[in-house]
Amino acid sequence: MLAYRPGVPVAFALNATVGSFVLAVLLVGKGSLLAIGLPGPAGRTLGGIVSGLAISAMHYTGMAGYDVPGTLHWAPGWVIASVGAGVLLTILSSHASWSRQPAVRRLAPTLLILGVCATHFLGMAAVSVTPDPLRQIRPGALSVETLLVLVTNAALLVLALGLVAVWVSVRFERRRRAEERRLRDFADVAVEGLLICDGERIVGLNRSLEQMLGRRRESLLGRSLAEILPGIPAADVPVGRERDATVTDAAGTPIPVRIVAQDIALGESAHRVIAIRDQRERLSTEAEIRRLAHIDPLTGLPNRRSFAESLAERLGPAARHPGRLALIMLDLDRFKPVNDTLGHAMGDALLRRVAGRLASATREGDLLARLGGDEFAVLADVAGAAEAEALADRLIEVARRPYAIDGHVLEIGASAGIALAPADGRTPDALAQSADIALYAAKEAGRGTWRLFETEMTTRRQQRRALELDLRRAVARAEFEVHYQPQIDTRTGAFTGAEALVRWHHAERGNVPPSVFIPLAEELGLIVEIGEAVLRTACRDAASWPEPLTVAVNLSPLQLRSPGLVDQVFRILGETGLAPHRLELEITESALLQDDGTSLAALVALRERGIRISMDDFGTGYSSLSYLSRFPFDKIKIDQSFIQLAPEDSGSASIVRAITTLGARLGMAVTAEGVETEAQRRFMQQEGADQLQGYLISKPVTAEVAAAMFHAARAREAS
Amino acid sequence: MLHRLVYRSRSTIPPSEAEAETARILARASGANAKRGITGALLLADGQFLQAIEGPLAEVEALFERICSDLRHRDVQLLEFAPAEDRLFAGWAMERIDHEDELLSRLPLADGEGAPAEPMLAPLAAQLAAGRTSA
Ligand SMILES: Cc1cc2nc3c(=O)[nH]c(=O)nc-3n(C[C@H](O)[C@H](O)[C@H](O)COP(=O)(O)O)c2cc1C
Repeated sequence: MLAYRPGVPVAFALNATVGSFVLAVLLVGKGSLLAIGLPGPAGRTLGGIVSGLAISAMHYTGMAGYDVPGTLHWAPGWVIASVGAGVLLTILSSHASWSRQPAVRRLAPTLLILGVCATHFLGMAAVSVTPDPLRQIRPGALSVETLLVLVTNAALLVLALGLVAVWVSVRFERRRRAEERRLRDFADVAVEGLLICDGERIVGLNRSLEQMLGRRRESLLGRSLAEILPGIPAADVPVGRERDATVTDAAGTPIPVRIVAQDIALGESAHRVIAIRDQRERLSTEAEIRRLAHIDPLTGLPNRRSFAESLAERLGPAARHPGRLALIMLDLDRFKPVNDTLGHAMGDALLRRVAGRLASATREGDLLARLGGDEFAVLADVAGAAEAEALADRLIEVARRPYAIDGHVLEIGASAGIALAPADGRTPDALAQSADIALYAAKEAGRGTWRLFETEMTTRRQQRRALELDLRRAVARAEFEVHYQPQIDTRTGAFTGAEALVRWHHAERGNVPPSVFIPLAEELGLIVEIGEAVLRTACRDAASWPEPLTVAVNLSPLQLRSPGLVDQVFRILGETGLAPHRLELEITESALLQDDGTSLAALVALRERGIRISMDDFGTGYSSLSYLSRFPFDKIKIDQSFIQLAPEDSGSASIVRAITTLGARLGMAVTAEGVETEAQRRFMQQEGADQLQGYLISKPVTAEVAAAMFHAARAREAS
Repeated sequence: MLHRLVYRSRSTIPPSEAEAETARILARASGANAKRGITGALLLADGQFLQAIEGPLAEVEALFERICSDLRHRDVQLLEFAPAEDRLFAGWAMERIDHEDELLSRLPLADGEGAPAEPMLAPLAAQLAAGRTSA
């Protein structure tokens, strides 16, 4: 405004001049603040307008202080042009200063100066002065020269201020953006979902959360927190300690998470950052670990532990059963030989098939488990015993069917014990014990069958335990005695020897029959020791009998399989001085039935050294004939069941006849056991049996009596 | 390797439904068997099943395992399971037959080379004989 010097002396009124200056500073400052405070093009435009108007305001208030001796005339067109050009140029300057391109930014001050100049010069062109000598320059007005300096300085100061403000704000804005970007990058590398909330409003989230929810950042910004975290207001998310929660993904599927919050200051307001940790993987891993701990990896069935848990649960106080709970324990029969002879791989394949079949025999809701080895168990709700029995029957039936595996045919069986809760046990242990006892009873009954628990089974089991204990004690103390039942030659009636029979006399039990304790001794493996003691005693006793009387001693299957048998027999013969040809070893067919070759080899070795081998209880086994062809027995003993029915029972009579004929053909002597009547003796004699043994000849007698009998007979023969 | 398996079992299907159920088994079997290269024949007479299955070893074993998990019969008795030279029921995914002879006459009973099969076939022959006398 000082650019124009009309041809008259001029001065500026002091107050108006200073006022114009202050106004300009204020307004340009305000313009800059607007541009900073209101981001975006609108703010910049507004800032430009305010700054532009400020420049005009400064010019025209300044002109109000223009003291001339004359009258001022304003041309409105020029005034509008002056204000418009100023405003336009400051708007451009304002926009330029925010530009991303440095070249454009550098234009900003020039544009502002142009704005100031345009306002000024166009404003001066708008004015014309008509000199009026009556008007005096008021005292106290500044001289034009002084004002010129002042106003120029002020304009530059305004300019500088505006520029500094713009520069500071641009720097500040850029730093803020960089920081924001760095923060977001940082958040995005986090594995956890992160959410920034302003109150309940979502104002930020990271990439992990986008992925977890399957939603884009843009679709969540500004939305309510409840949309993804229903039921938990931001304020309720705990700080410093995690809590379980559920978030909802894009498809509305709930995702289990753990959440924790942290308050941070963003700008002037407090915000809440919520960390959201996806629990799906952890939960599924945990579930998998729990599953693995509860299944049998071989068959995929629940394992013992899982079964125990289910049993406890179903017997527990929470369980309500209208009917009864059946526990079926199932053991495979003859599984071990498969595993031993065909290998574990075959055993495993077989167990898998068994599991499959058992599963097909169970009903919906029944629980089938593999307890280990070849033990399985089923837990079933049943209305009564009959239902449990039918189930056990089905289980055994499917298990017993043949298996075709890798070209092999395997035949096994199964035995089962059933216990019903609550009658047979209220606790898991009690019920399981009852089922075990029933299973044991099923095995004792010959396997391949089931037994329902009965209380007497427990008693019987206890009795058996007691007997077992007594038997072990008897073996340790060598409480067994050997008695002898003499045998005679059918034709001459002369003694040929005797069969050694073991006797057990127990202080309280009295005489325990061999039919009771021998099977038990077999089962417990005690028979090997008992057998050795009997053999030693028999050999010692027989050594005192007149020549060539023989002693027959029974060999159990277990003895026959024990590897040291041949050495043991000859050691005993050496000890007792009995000649090998006076010892006869009796074996049963069942001993050879389980043979894997070693038994037969032992028999061959014994026979080669003069010991005689006889087949005991002939006719009761399965494949009698094949054994006779496989081993050259010296003697066949016809089972007493045939003798006792003969000669009246025609079937038995013909069997006896067949056996004696067979013996004659094979060159084997035939002995008839259990001969009790004269009719039987005559029949045997007539059929050609070589030897007789039985009550008709003599009952079993003690060693002394036997020895006395034999010596007396010898004396009679001699006389 | 082609294998043949023959078994016998007792039907547990109520007699009144036996026909319809057997037809159902056959209907399903022929599709399933054709897919697996299985051929064979099935007989239901006097409440007894007699079935011959032939095909690749693994398939024969897998099918027999499924059949042995089936509760519609019981007392499954394996009569023959051995490698076979060629199919006796070629062209039949599962042929329904009405007389044992139709099956048995085709089996190489008196075949010298089928030595391991012989003892197993003995009960079959016995059963056949028994069936004939009782019929
Ligand atoms: C006597 C008898 C014969 C069968 N024969 C066949 C057969 O040849 N092929 C077959 O796929 N299923 C046969 N089945 C049916 C199978 O036992 C079983 O139900 C069928 O394979 C479907 O088994 P999936 O349900 O496990 O697939 C027979 C069933 C019985 C009782």
